[in-house]
Parts: sequence; structure tokens; C-alpha cells
Amino acid sequence: MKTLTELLAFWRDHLDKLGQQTLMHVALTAAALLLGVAVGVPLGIWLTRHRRWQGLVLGAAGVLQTVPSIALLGFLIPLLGIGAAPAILALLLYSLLPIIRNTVAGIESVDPAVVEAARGLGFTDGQVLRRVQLPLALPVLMAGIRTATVINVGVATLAAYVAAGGLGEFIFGGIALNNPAMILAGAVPAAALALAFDGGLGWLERQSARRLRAAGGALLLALPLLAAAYWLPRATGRLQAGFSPEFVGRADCLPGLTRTYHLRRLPSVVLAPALVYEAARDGHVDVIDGYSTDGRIRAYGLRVLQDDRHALPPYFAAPVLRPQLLRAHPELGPVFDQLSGQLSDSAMTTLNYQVDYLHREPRAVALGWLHRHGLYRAPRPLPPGAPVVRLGSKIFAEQYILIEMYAALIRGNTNLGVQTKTGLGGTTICFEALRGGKIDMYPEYTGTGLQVLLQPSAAVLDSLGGRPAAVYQYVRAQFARRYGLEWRAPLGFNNDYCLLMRQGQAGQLGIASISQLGRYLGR
Amino acid sequence: MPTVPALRVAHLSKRYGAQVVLDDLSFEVAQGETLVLLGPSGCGKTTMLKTLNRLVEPDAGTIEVNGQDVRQLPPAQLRRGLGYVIQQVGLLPHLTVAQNVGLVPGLLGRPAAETQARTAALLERVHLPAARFGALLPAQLSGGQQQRVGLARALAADPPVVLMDEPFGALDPITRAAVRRDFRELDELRRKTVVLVTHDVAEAFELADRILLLNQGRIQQLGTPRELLRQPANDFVRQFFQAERLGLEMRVTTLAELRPYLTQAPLGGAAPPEAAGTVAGAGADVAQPWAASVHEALAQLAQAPGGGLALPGWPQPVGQGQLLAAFGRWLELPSPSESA
Repeated sequence: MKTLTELLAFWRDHLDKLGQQTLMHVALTAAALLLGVAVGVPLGIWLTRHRRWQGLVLGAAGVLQTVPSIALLGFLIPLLGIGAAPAILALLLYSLLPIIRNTVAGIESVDPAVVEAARGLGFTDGQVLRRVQLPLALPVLMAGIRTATVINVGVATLAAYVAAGGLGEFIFGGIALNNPAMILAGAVPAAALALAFDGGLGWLERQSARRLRAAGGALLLALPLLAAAYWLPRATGRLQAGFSPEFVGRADCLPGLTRTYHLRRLPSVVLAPALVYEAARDGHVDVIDGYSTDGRIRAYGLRVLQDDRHALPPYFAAPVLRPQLLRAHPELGPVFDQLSGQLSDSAMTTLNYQVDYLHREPRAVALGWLHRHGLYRAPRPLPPGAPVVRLGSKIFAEQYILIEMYAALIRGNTNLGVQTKTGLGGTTICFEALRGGKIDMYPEYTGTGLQVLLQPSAAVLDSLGGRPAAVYQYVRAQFARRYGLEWRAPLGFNNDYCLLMRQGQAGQLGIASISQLGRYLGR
Repeated sequence: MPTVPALRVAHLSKRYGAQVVLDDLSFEVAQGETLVLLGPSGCGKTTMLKTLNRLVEPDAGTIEVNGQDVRQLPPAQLRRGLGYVIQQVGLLPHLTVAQNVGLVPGLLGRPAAETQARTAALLERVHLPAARFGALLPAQLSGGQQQRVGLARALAADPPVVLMDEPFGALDPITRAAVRRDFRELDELRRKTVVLVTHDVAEAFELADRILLLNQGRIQQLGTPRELLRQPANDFVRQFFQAERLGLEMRVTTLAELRPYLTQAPLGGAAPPEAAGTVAGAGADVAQPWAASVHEALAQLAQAPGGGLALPGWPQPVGQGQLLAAFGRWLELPSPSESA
């Protein structure tokens, strides 16, 4: 009930955005569908005349169908950049299998006697196709287009990850912010769209052949118009921004920055967190959000804009664990604390750089650092039946490195086994796994614990005022009280959010701080 | 003007891989003639038919339609000038009966009004008046009705040559007899050159002016039904007709041939009653009653049970028993009276 009122409130507050995203969603689906029909139907027809290629082409389309959509988008980014092009191409590839397969099935289901009679009467091959095979295959063909449409409406949510917009913006923002109402704000219209498309095309299928042909023609005409809606004029500015969903949605991030620095006329697109750096490097966008210790800042020649008014919250990393673990194995406490205060911002950035850009193994990077700092010890032989400590990590390089450090320390200093569960999808997944006892520890950031998990009121946030020690103390106390989880001492570095620009462009425009950015935009 | 044969086939050969389907076939079909391609299944008769409208391209040999080599025409254009009827009918299921009949005139670009009139006339002639059947879809018709539409469709553009591939093959025996009768009586078709494929010997004898008997891709004999039956060219021809010999003889034997075997008195004594003397319409259908076949005479008598057939120069009407007895004597079968 609470979620429902929140959902309605969210829609009311974001009505224009909802309309725009729905329109973009429909446009993306329509564009991909149009291309899918334009490619799939002729290909299907060709296959009915070159049957030995059927296995190969349908097999290839089938393989494409099994590629996870997010992976497919990942493959397409280096080729097509970000924006509508990779999204539409991905949707097109997903719509091919049902369209091709149903075109082939539809044409081959036409009674061969009818085709022979038509040829015998003097129909040319083209006439047989247009006047006999296609009209008779139309119901099956439409069923394929219907399947493709429903698939496309679903997959189009992922377009938000490549800055192509659509209802996925709400969904991924909601996931990143652990905000169910926001997830539903995108998911409900997406589901409604899928149902509406499916119902509409289903109704079409049940029409008589003649009306079906008329409606099919109307549909083909309507698709380009729907697709064109995507390219309606939008706000433009002197700089283009690309932000991750969490950054856009969080009160202390983009909205806070906008307020504090009076950032105006900064049109932004939403991008998958993993893609913002590449998008900035390749010049698709000019201003992005990032983590200040990310290795790619150095690798891609990006400049961190100084948060001269301290609007962005601190993100000190610290291990969060289940107190039961320390009660059962008190020797672990000192082991975890060996890293406390040991990793500076620049140290962490260097380590991340080695993994993100030099593509070294996180494990090798972690062990190398331990060696250099005299913390490394060879793993002890495990006694049979030794208890196992389960370490979790989120899905980015820094966390992988930290986990390998902790694993090596535990192996070298205790008689406990270690199991790592890396690549857990997000903050909420890690947190719930820890609470549910599926893992014993994962590295968390004070800002994330505060904003994503605790979600305190604005009054509390104001009282903390972005002071690192105050935030840490608050988070530590609240986690112990509410969840019975323990924060150990921070590792030292502050992996906070930051705004980034390409060094060259920032230098040219004379922008080194967010205040200067605000002044440049306001000019 | 010397008449050009409607079809001239010379040294036609076709093989699928190692299998020879047509082996050096040569024959001609005269204008207005009905040629039946007959033979066991797999003898090549359907392949032969399909080479005529280039649905199958031969490996060697030439085909001329009204003196023109078929290879000089694009296949689609050639086919529009040749009617085509197949066993499965192949009506376009998404078009109405009338639209199906009007297809070829439409392809030929004839005016719509002309096509419409022609369609209505043809549907009338195959006993499917356009007012009642024209707007129906093929699925709403029985098998026999569909085949009649198929026939009308093949005739719609008035092609001089009509090709038929087992046109009655998918029909039940009663429908089949009815459709075949309509077919025979269709004026439109009598004037046309027809090449018809069948494996049904009785059908071939009923419809053919001449029969081309094929086996394993070779012509076994080409001639009138009577020639094939009476002067078989080889053992295959003889044996091919053996099983149905009696029925076939009835079809080729004329009453004139039976005349010496007809006795004055009917078998079993009493003369037929005067009132039933002649069968109505007998003279109209058979211009020269003596030229009618035994089969035709029996069919007429069957319509008036107990009646007789009036024959010129014969004192009394001839009854069914009398006719069968004469036919038996002619065949040198023991007559019922002799065996009694």
C-alpha cells in the first residue's frame, strides 16, 4: 500500500519524464521492429528458396537470441558508441529469430498444390509471392512479429544502459537506489506497453485476411512515425552529460550538485555505470560521474572536477561483517584490521588502474601490494574440515582487489578456509546476502550505507553535513542497531562520487572545479 | 492453310539423376483433339504434361504449341495461354470463387467487366451459378464443386489448349462420374485441344480421341482406344487392358458390329410392350444409332427400365437382354441361353 502511494506520487512528480520515456520506449521498439521486418521478412523469403541455408541462418539467429542482452549491448558499444544505434541494433537482432522463422514457416505452410496451380496458370515468381504466398503466410508472419514486439518491449528497458532512454531509466535508477516505487514506475508502464502491443497485434491476427492486409499496411506506415518520435528535438546545451542511474536519482548527487552549484543547461543521458568512462573518453558525452579512485580516470585522461563546496558525500570503504563471525573466530578481527588506514586514494587508484586498464588479474595486483607492504604470508596448510569464511564483493575492480587482499590475509594468518563470491550484482544483493548469512563479509562504502541502505531523513543528512567521521559513526551505529552488522575501521581511501571531464576539454575551457563548471554553463 | 498441329513434341527426354523419366518421346496432337496420357504410376505421364507448360524443363527435345517453340516464350506468358487443371485443384483459398475464375484474364490485363461476364457465363456452364456461388470461398465448396471451379478457371481466358493432370482423381466415384459427364458435355471444351493425364483406363476410354500409353518413360502405343484394345502393339499394351477388357470392349464395340449377332427375337420370349417402344431422346444424342457403342446403348436403356432401343432398319426395338446376349456372342462368351 505504501509502495502504491509512493508509486503514484512518483508518477505525479515525474509526469513529463514518464511521458517522454514511454514515447522513447515505443519509438525504440517501433524502429527495431521496422528494421526487423525489413530485414527478417526478405531473409525468410530468401530462405524458402535457398533451403540449404535455413539451418545456418536460423541457427545464427537462434544463437543471437541466447546472448544475454546486456552482453550484446556490451559488444555493440565499441562498434556503435552509445545512444539509439546500439540499442536499436540489439533489439533488431533479438527480433530477427521470430520474424525469420515465422516467415519461413508461414510460406512453407502454403499448400504446394496452390502454388503449383498458380504457377501453372501463369503467375510469375513475384506474383506467386505477392498474391499467393505472402497473403496466405500473413497470419503466421504476424504471429512472429507479435512475438518479436513483446520481446522488444522487454529488452528495450536495457536501452537505458546505453543512453538510449526509455522506461529502463526509472527501472535501473530504482534498482541502484533500492527504491521499489521507482522500479515500478518504469516496470509497470513497460509491462502495460507489452500487454497493449501484444493485445493489439493479437486482435490484428484475428481479423479477416483482407482487413489484416489493410492493418498490416497501416502498421508498416505507423512504425516509421512512431520511430521518428525518438528524434523529436530535445534540450541542448553547451556540454552534454552522461550519468549513471544512481547518480541521477540520489538526492545528494545530481539534485544536490545542481542546487549547490546552480548547474543549469546541462542536458544529460542515463548510462550504465560501467559505460560512462568510455562514453566520456570517446567524446559521446563531456561530463560524467565517477568514483574518485577509479583506475580509468588516469587511463582515459580524465580530470576530476574539484568539489569545492563539498556537496558530494564521503565514501570511505570498510569491511562490513557479521558479528557471529568474530565471536566464532576472534583471530579474524586483527586480520581484517591489518588493512585499516593502509590504502590512500592514490594507492587505490593505482591498483584499480592496473586492473581496469592494464588488465592484470585482481589477485596478482592484490598479492603484489601485500608483498610490497610486508603483509603477505604464505597460506597455511588447512586442517581437514576447517571452517570456511565467505567473502562477497560487488561487481567492480576495486572490490575484486580488496577481496583478494582479505582472502590472502586470512589464508596466511589463520587456519580458516576462504571462499569468495565475487561479482554480486549490486549493493542490495551484497547487503541482503550478508544479512541472510550467505556471506560473512563484504567491503562497503560509508556513503552507500547511508544513502542506499539507511536512507535517513533530510534533517539527519543535514546534521551529518558530509563530514567523513560523522557519517562513519552514524552508519556504524545504525547498522549495529538495525541490522546487527558490524563495520570495521575504514581502509583509508575515500572513493566518493566525483564529476569528470576529459582533461583536454576541461583545460581548454578552464574548468577545474564544479563551481567553474557551473559558471561556464550559466554564461 | 495447312493446319498446324496444336502440339508437336519431338525427341523429348528428361532424366532425374540416373533415372530416365522421359525417353525420346515424339508425337503430335491435332487441333481440337483430346489426347489422354495413360500409364501406370511413375510412367512419366505427369512429367510429360508438365514439360508442355514448362513447369518441368526437358533435358532434350522440342515442344511446339501451335507451331511456336515453347522455349521462345517466358514461362509465365506461355502458361497464360495454356489452361491448367490439377488433381488437388489448387484454388487460391483467400480469393472467392469468382476471383479464382477471373485470375488468368486478370493476369492478361483483360477489362474487368469482360472478365466478370465471362466468369459468370463459365460458372453457369459448370452448374455453379455466380449469383449463388461467386462470392463463396473455396473452402465452402464440396470437392466436386471445387473441381468444377478449377475447370472454369482453366477455361476463363479461352486458351486453345488445356492441360489436365488427373482432374477427377481426388473425387469419390459418384461425384467423379457426374463431374466427368459435365466435362464431356461442356461445349467449350469440345472445341479445345485437351491433353489429360490419368491412370484410370475407363476414364481414358471415355474421354480420349486418342490415347498415348506410356511405360517407363517410353511410348508403348499411340492410337484410338479401339486401336489400343484391338491391335495392341506389344504385350504390355495387351496386359495393361486385360483386367478391364469387358468394360472397354463395350465402349469401343458399336451396335453396327453387333448387328450380325443380334437375333430377331428377344431372349426369353415375349416382345416388349409397344408403349415403351423407343427411348426418349435416343435419336437426338446418337445421330446414327448404329454407330453408338454398346456402353452408350446400355446407358440409354438403363434410363428406361424395360424399354427398348429403336434402330433404323431393325424390325423391333432392341432390349437390354437382347443387346447383352449379342455382345456375349460377339465376344464368343457362352450366352445365357446356351449355358442354361
